[in-house]
Amino acid sequence: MKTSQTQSRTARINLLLGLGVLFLAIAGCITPTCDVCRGYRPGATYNLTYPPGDANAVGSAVADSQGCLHYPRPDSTGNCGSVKATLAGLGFFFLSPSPFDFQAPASTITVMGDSIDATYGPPKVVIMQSGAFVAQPTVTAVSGDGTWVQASTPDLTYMYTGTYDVEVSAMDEYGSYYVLSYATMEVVNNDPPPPPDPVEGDPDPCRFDGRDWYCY
Amino acid sequence: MNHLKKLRGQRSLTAMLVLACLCLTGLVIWRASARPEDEPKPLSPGQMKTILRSGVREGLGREVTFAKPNASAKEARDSVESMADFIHARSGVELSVKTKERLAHLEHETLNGKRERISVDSLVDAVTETGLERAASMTDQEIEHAADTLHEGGSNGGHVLLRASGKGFMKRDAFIENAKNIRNEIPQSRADSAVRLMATSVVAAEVKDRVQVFSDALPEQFGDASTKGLTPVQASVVVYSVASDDLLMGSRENLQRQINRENKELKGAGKAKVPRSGKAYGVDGDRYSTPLDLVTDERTMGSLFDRIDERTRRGAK
Repeated sequence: MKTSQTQSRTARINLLLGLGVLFLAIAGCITPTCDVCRGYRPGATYNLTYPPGDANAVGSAVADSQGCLHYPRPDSTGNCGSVKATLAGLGFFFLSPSPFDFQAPASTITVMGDSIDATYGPPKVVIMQSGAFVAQPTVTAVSGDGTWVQASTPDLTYMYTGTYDVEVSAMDEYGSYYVLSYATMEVVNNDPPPPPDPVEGDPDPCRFDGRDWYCY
Repeated sequence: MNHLKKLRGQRSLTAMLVLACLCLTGLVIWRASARPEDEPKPLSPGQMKTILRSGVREGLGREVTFAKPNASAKEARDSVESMADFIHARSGVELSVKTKERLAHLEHETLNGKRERISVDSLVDAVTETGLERAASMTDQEIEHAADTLHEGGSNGGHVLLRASGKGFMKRDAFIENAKNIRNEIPQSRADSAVRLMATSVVAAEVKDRVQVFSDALPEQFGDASTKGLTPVQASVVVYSVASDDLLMGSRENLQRQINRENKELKGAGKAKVPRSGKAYGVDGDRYSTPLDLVTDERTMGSLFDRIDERTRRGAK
């Protein structure tokens, strides 16, 4: 009985030792990381700027589901604070409500993102499909921290079931707009009108452009 | 007596190792606490959750059609096709016809009550065992290929990055040497060996993280994953997400726009990634590159499905 207890204790100690040695071996070949959980956008790519000439410099990293980055510790300063992480690209913007139900339309739509700057004027929200203008809802509110913009529900006359792009732009100091990012808007419960009756003898008489049918 | 002395010696060594681990952890936390002040304002936990949920709903939620209970064989096949198409659009991975047929068969049987759903713990075991089996059979060329694919992408050419978030930054040579050592060690290793325990712990953390993310974002499909388990298609989505380190956020159009803009900005900062596949993930992925081709081949997928098959047979428990 005693022997089996000692054996199991020895096995546990060996296991601990094994894990410890493995940890040290990995720590030896994997560069220590800066595990920074500072509310980064999950799934967004960050451009990492290290001190010049740093041997551990990594160009970019993607924030994980907890909003953390785990980049290698700079070898020149040893200080995680000497690495700057800035959002690369646009960052995903998202629309609420999603999907947008045509039969029970919300009175406003909200686009969530960040850096939605209203310093020089209200942002602009434009709805497009395949690059073509569809509607421009009126912006009604912007959050103080630039994480959302709210707009009135657009003119729904020609918004049929399908996917639309919502382009969000901010105004610069010269009064010009620049695109911040896009959200996707999915409209449901509004099927497009059926095509008119075909003309006899014409194999492909009608074309739908997203708004109307055109027959030749 | 000698045995006792040896045991005492081992205890002291263990204590020293634990102390070393604690010191290292403390150092990392201390270093991480100093942050530059000109970084963007941090998001609150609520904002992060909203972004994650919206992104997954727009990506996985909209682009993959999950078949419902009692689905027909055709509905199960359509579900598999939508998942394969989704994975292909994001990573360039092409699942073989045989793989898709097998998955559709398993999905159909599960949705019609002929087999159990796979529990999260069983999926962790199946993925770990399949991963270790694959690692043990890697050729030198495949290990080189993995090192090439996990290239860091920035100016630091001689390094690899094991996860997209920046975890596991190491010298390419060290990666190759370690991969070969582990490959040689796996066949002789026991079930409680350090390599297997470490692999299980890493896989469990990743799989559970993804299941949690998908449950929060898509409660209609993944809401009872932790209690009732996953269907084979859901399990495959989780496995792809973990293997490619793709959080499955954003529609394909939105993702492509993001990638184009990111590439432009990183190129402007002298950090252009080369080579690039034009896809966000997988081999030479523009956003994060992984040797996904080594784990999505017909043989490896077949091994994974064998294990899912075994663990989900009625009465298998």
